[in-house]
Amino acid sequence: MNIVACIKRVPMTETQAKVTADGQSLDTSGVEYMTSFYDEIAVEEAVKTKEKLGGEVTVLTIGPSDATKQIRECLAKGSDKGIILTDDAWALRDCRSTAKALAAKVQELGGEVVFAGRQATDRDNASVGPMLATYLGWACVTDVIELELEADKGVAKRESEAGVETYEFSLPAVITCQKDLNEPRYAGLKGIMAAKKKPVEEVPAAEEASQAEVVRVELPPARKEGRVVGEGPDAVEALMTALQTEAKVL
Amino acid sequence: MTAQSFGFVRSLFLGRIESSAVMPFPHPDADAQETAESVAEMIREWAADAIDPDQIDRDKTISADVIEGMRELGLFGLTIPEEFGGAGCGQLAYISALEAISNRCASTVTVFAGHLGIGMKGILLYGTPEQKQMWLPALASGEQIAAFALTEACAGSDAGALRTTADPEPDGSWKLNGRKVWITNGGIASLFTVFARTPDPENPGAPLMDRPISAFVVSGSPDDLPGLSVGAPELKMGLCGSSTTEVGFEDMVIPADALLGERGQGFKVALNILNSGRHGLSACCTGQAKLARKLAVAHAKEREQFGVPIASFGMIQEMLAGMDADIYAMEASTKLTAGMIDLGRGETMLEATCCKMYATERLWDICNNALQITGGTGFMREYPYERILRDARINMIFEGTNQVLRMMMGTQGLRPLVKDLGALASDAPTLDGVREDFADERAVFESLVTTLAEKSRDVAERHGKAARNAQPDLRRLSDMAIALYVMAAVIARVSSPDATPEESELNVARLACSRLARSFQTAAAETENPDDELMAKVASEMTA
Repeated sequence: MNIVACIKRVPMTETQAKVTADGQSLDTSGVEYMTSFYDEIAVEEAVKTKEKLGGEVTVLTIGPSDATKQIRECLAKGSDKGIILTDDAWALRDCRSTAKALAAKVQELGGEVVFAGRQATDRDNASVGPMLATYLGWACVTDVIELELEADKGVAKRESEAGVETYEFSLPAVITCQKDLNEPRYAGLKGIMAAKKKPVEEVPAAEEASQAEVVRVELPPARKEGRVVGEGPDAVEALMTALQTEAKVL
Repeated sequence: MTAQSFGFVRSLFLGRIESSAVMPFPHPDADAQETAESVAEMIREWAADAIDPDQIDRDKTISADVIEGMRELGLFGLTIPEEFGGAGCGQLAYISALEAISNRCASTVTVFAGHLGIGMKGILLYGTPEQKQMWLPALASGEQIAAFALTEACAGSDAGALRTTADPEPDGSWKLNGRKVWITNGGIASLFTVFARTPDPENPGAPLMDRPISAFVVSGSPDDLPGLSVGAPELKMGLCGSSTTEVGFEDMVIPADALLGERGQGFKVALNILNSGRHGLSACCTGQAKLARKLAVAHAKEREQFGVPIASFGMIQEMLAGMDADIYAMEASTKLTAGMIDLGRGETMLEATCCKMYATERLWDICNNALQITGGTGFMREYPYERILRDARINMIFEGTNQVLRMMMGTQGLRPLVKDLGALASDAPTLDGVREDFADERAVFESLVTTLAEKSRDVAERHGKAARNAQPDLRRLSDMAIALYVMAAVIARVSSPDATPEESELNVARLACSRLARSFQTAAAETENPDDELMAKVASEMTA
């Protein structure tokens, strides 16, 4: 099966976000990057699918050449080749232009199934996966927590606010991956050494103007410090009053 | 100036600076650097999930799934060549792995270093192609874990005093008898590098202690090797999870091809293994030091006294800044030496020894200060400070006590001078390739090298060949040489053409140089007015 896993490189979880002086974007100086958490699950699912059904896994990303590091990690964990759609202004792309560029490449690769994280942990849009499926005209199941794939169809369970929904779909399809789908493996030394010999291709990303424009970026306001209203059972009355009259949540 | 190379550290005693050994900073190629980073990152990720250092310390054992995890990741074969099933990584990847494991758990890294650093190192260094084929694949997969068995009850620092014997049998096999103590990995290993006295074919009747030492590989465990016994786990102050036991041999027969290296050359085999193992120890110390620093910084920022975070107090800042500078220097010297090994820039025995002494002593100071910053909380067993401190203590003892290493280093450094004072440099030495804004540090370094040469000359003149017994003198000269080597490493690190250090890094490096120069001067000042005679008198009366 021709399997594609889409990943995004995002700032490390512990990064302290800083806004640039012009208030238009985040200051990326000194920021270190990692593969987005959910995308690691997508890569693992892609490799598991290859192990079950055979085929090849291509890891695909839009970003700067520096993303080679994240691609190599995916190759060390069992993917076969990597492609970086290079775009130095990758961070400014909106979801639509990202999805469109990815769709063009997936089509060219002849992909049969695409795995992506449910959302990237930097912007949290959760949009690129479904948009990609729309441009490709493929089936799409998002937030998947359980998956059974066969050569031409599959069954996926997804988590929604209403409960767990089960879908049957035919391939090709785009699957976006939720936390419980699998436990990503460690690369292992053999994987790291093997990854060096696997190909990583860099091609310019298809030009596509963004339709959404970031007007302003600001950090969330600092939260007010909490207040202890009392201790033990005696505090109940004070707490009730505060919840009713100050917080007005009761 | 002669073109003869003495090795970087040895040349310092002569007032010479062999700049080309350290400048430009010896970085292995980009591929090797990337591998080292990937290995370290993989280990960090795994270790955070799989290793509970506190549990290991409390249980006094490393659970089977941690060892199994290391096997699955392929760690036991990290430096074993690919043709024997390993990953074939160089020294940089090895020290990166050590640091990453150690940053999580000192007991676990001991198993790893006991295996790769000393347990099986002899096979890599001295094994024949057949021996490598016979043993390395199972060691690379971790099916067999290795241990290094040199020390005996009466042969510690004086390892050459060992009494274990290996006698040849008529069929060419060997019969081993003796008892080894404090063997790292003793309880989990099934391959031992063992050192024993063998009869001298030239002089078969020689008394035991005059017989030469040979190295052997014993492959097997007490279950399948009659005569091999492994003692109960020792109760230790630190590294409680790592297995340390006695290993005994009673009329144990091993095949002819168990002999490692040339017969009678075993002591050289042992010393060369230890010389290489010692370098790894400094990476282990860096890992633990970074852990202590992380805890101390977090506590200093969070803990408020007198209405402000304690991080704002000058005396806390002294401790924090000191540990940051020391860790920078530990890392610089360990990486410099790794690069020299990987790039084959000459001899590294004394360089690795400097790394070991500096890192082990700085680590002790760093964990002590981390605990001090944390105050009463640090003293509680609920927190990891006391464990880190206990684990750190052994580093100044094993793979050569820091006293024995100072004797060795001082003696080696003085040797050319004892032979001929003409070996001293006639011109003022220069360190080439230093970045411009480190001109002050460079000038201090160069002048201290000249001071070391003067002090060395003085010791050589006063003691001649007996200099090797002038222990307080050897200690002071070693202290000076350690400070200089580490300082050279810091200067080389910031001066590397590949490096683009920010101002904050340069400040840390400057502070490191200043502290190293101060430590040099402390030792140098002591030579002006030493208490040697007085101390010898007092100690003699105490021990009369």
